[in-house]
Amino acid sequence: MSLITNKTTRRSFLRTSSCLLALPFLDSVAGTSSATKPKRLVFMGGGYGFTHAYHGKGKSFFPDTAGKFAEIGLTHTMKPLERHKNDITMIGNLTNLGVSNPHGGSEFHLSCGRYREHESSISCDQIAAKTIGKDCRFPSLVLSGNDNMPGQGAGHGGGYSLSADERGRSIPAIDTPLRLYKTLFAQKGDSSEKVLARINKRKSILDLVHKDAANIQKKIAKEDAVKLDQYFTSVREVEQTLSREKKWANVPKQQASFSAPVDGLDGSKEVNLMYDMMILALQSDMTRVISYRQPVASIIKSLDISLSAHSLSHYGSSPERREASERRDAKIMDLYAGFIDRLKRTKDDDGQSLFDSTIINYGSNLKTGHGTNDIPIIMSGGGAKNLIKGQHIILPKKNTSLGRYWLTLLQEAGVKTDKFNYDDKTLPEILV
Amino acid sequence: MKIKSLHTSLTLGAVLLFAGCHNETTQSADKHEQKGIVEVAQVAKKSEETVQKVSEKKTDKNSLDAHETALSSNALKPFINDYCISCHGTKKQKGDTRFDHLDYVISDNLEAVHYQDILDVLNSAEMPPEDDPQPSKETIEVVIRELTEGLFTARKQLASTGGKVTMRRLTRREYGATMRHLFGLEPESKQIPPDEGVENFDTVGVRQDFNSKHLDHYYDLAKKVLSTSFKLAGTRKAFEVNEQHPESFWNTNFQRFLDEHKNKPKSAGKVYRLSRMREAYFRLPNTETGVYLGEPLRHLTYSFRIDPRAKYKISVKSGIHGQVAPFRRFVRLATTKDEELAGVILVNGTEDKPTESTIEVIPKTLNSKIGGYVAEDRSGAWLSHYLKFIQRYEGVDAKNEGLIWIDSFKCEGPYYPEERSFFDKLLCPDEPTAKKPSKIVWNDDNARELIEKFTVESFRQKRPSVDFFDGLHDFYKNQKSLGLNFQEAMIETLAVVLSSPSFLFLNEDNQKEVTAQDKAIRISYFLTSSQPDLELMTKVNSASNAVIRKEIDRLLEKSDYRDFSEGFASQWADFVRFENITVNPVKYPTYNRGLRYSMKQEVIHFFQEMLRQNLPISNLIKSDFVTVNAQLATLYDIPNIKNNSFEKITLAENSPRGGFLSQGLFLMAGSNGDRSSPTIRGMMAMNRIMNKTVPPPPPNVPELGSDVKNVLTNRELVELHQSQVQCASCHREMDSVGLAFENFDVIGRWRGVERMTLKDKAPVKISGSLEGKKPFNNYLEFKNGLLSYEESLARNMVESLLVYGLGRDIEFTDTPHIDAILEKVRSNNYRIKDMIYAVVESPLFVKN
Repeated sequence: MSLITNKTTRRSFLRTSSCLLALPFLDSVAGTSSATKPKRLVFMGGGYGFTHAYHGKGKSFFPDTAGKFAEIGLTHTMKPLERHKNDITMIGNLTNLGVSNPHGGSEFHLSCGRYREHESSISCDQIAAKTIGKDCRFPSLVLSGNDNMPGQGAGHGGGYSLSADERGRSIPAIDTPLRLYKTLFAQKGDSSEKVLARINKRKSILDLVHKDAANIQKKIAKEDAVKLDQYFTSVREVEQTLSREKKWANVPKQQASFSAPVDGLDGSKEVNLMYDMMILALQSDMTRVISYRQPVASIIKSLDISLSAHSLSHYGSSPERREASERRDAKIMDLYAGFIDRLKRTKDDDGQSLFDSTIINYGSNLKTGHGTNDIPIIMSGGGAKNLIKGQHIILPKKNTSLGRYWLTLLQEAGVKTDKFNYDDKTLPEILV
Repeated sequence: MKIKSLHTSLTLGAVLLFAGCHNETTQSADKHEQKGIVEVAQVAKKSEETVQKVSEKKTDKNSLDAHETALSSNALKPFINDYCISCHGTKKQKGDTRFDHLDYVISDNLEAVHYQDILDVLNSAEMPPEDDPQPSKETIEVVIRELTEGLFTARKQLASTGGKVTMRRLTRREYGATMRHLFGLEPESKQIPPDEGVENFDTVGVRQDFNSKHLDHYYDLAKKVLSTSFKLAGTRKAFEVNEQHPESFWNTNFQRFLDEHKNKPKSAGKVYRLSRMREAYFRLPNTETGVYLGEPLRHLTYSFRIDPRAKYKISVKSGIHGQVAPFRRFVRLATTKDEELAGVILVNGTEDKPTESTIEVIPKTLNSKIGGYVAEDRSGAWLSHYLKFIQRYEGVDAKNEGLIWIDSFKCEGPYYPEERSFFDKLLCPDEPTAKKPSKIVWNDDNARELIEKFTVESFRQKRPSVDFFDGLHDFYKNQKSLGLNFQEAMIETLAVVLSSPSFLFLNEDNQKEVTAQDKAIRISYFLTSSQPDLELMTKVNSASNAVIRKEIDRLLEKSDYRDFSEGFASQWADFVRFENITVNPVKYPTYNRGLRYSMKQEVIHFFQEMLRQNLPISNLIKSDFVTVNAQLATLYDIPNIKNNSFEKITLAENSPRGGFLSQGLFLMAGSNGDRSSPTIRGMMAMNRIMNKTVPPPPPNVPELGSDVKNVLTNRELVELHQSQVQCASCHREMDSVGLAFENFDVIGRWRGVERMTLKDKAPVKISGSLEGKKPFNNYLEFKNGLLSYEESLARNMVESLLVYGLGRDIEFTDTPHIDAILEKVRSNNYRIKDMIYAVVESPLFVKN
């Protein structure tokens, strides 16, 4: 059955379709089945943070007091989350200690960067990928909106995604809906022989460029070898991906229930479509871990705001900008609320709602404007069983390390670790 | 306590008008429990025995190791002794922090962190505690400045690579130019992998990244370039003139709409309004011979078939209908949706006597078509809204405003370059004509020779090992055996060459001084952004400076200095910052993409002119000429300029224009799109003219003015900076320089009155003084005062040329060489081309 009929995917198909995927396609290598119920992790973020009151003038995105949302209420721009107010947790006083770039809301978000003598290291989603995600076709999906802008740009900072590899290097992302579509769904006329032939050809290309790199290595200076090492690493990474693809070449991918998305979708449509595909990937168990660096510039544009993301972050300079900035906040919350809706409605193969087994987080390294302290963190999902829900929690210590929060989430997701980057304590304050 | 990462961005002025310190960042006693502070104490204890020795050793600046930085302790040391030691000294160590062992030298990252901690508590006014004796405002200001600047220097020192040039990847620009060298065409630049992490110049290797996606990206792109080139190989298109008259298409289109919605009532809403709009259009006098830009037709699209290897001329014949304000008489010509414009055209004729304007286009595309649009250069609002805006903000009588009328447009070409590309000649050695194409002379039997020839040229004459050729040949044969034909298999194979590190990276042989071959590659990428030709490869062996200078001239003149200006000047002037500014379309309705294009072109043409005439560098501060087109002349109030190309115009005496600092690009980059920003203008001027690097603003500071009720002038806003010592330490000089530009509005127009809001206005008053110099009372006096910074500007230029040319940052060990370069060019007033000669002749240029 085709759920999406029109090519431009005007509205999210999961939201509008009356028939949700009752019998999910299950993507697995024969023989792989887990006895315990899997947990799923979704990390989202979007560059700059939210609009702040500044000394009580104007309304703030951030609630003033701690407490149950049912009692303290949601702030005006968080209102779209009203129907989920008992399912969300907002945490105050967290700071990403490894970040000081006032335009870097996304870079090092999940890895916490480098702090004092600690080098930057692997991000928490990638730790989860190696454990809870390791048996899936994709140990993790690293996604991003396509707004790499030079300079202060979209507020992401450097890098390509929210995720980082073992050496702390930013992981390149799948950065358009079309690319994600092609990654997740079977392509026309793709037989396993064809897939294998393609893998083999790519393998021989890699062998060749590797040969050239090895020739260069003999001639160049030691310092340059570090640079060339990036090339070797990239070759090795592609090789690893290829051997994984090879392993899965005989397991056909699911057929897409809608036509391929076009390029240049407007911001909120793009995000909704990515959300839908993320949900399908989780539901079919193609992956259990996703990070998504949401687009910023195109979201703003889709609200008919003609300011660049950076200009909008300087919302203090005029009332019009402030109003536009608040509209953006509400839009992001609206999208987030819609994502939760669809997760709640989508069932996994046990007939349980996906929401109940998933941990979802939205966050940024930047609070508001160019502030790097007390960053926004909004968590949701039944995957984190022991987390207090429906509350705004203000941690007792200012600038508590964000890493402690990631460590808490990892443990909740069932990852057996008691250390994350430079943090070895969890946050008992947010647990039931 | 937060630690600033070491990659603090250099793009500092991005943050507009910062002031004050974030009250909320004030850290309470809890920070003392954090482990960083404990470490201070531990480090301090560990070094207790050696402290005496250390402080003796390190007080002398000359005894520092290369990576160490001595903090200026004139103010800092007495300050620590007077205000901190009583709680953080030998007797007491409150919060486990002690300062009695500080040696005021930073030699590693952890030490930098400790000094940063001190700076942070000073910046947040947390220390000294309220109840204790407080230092004077002046003292704190000096201490903060010394510490901020010292730490900034220290971080650069710690990141030092000892002047080593890092192997680097071709930048986006260089990849495009190299493709043009090889194939005579290049893809749209957005198809090429972007440059990541650029801070000052895109060529700096250490900040580049290479990831697994790049491999696929480069391979796929190379295949596209190769298959286009195979398709075009040995062919020539015949010259043709293609004229298009748009009116018949649009008249039919509008009439059809009217017929379809003939009897719709007013309640039909939009359709009704659109119908009336079309009826009004048909009431205009000359719809049978041309089209009017306005409503319903805002953008006039066009499309022509082309050969992407050739240049074309596109002409627009146009005139104005009725009375049209001078700033509205420009149309912009776009070639693709997102790329740079092809140009801006002055509409100088009338409907009776339309005039034709021509623009040359060198397509950057792999397609056999170029298409684009012509539109009035204004904001994208409905015409009626736009007219309202210009009535409100530009004082134009909207009722009497007319329209722009386009008679026709025309595409002429192709104009092929004198010489065919390397690849075309390689594939088809015989010269082709339009009638008689030339044949590809390669097949299976000599495939290996083709692979080898192509590889050696692509690898910039560096022969790879035989086993690499073997591998390529085997790959080719394998592709054939899978059923591909000669051409398909060859495309796959040669694409591997163009994805190999020998092509993608400028890798130099490991020697103290680069080889002649590598020197030629450096010179060529420095001056033309592309790979060296054979002539340069041969001549670079000559030891004679005269021969090399001739080669430099030849390479620069090849594109009339354009390649170099586009690569270098665009980054020196910080086009990226400029591009990131969104100008408020309501307050500045006349500003749009065309003007943006013109402003960027002005800078490039200005550098080209400086190079052509080998002018002294002081022209960047003050020149008696500008390089403008008619659109900028209108913006700058320079009368009687009608040219669409950028030409050198000599200025009237006492004109405020002339020099980089009076150009639209600089002035607009120094704004937030709503108001001018003295802070950014000051920072940019200090950075470039005075060669001072202003440390980036700290995070966590709220926006200036967000706390203020009244409407303030820029000067008043800036004075808020001065009222807080924490800000004043950096802002005092920056802001006072920036205020000197207040006679220019957001988009660079001269103004005597500052418009804060539509109603609130205040006369601009210029007065200030440059550090240790005579005070100034108007912009011209300020500009003349800046001329005394000629030497620091020259140093900034030399350093920038070195960074751009070598692909690495400048370090302290380079200072003697930079001094020597300056010495060489000083006697002749620091002329720009002399500087390029001296840079290439410097031992730094060939040092590895």
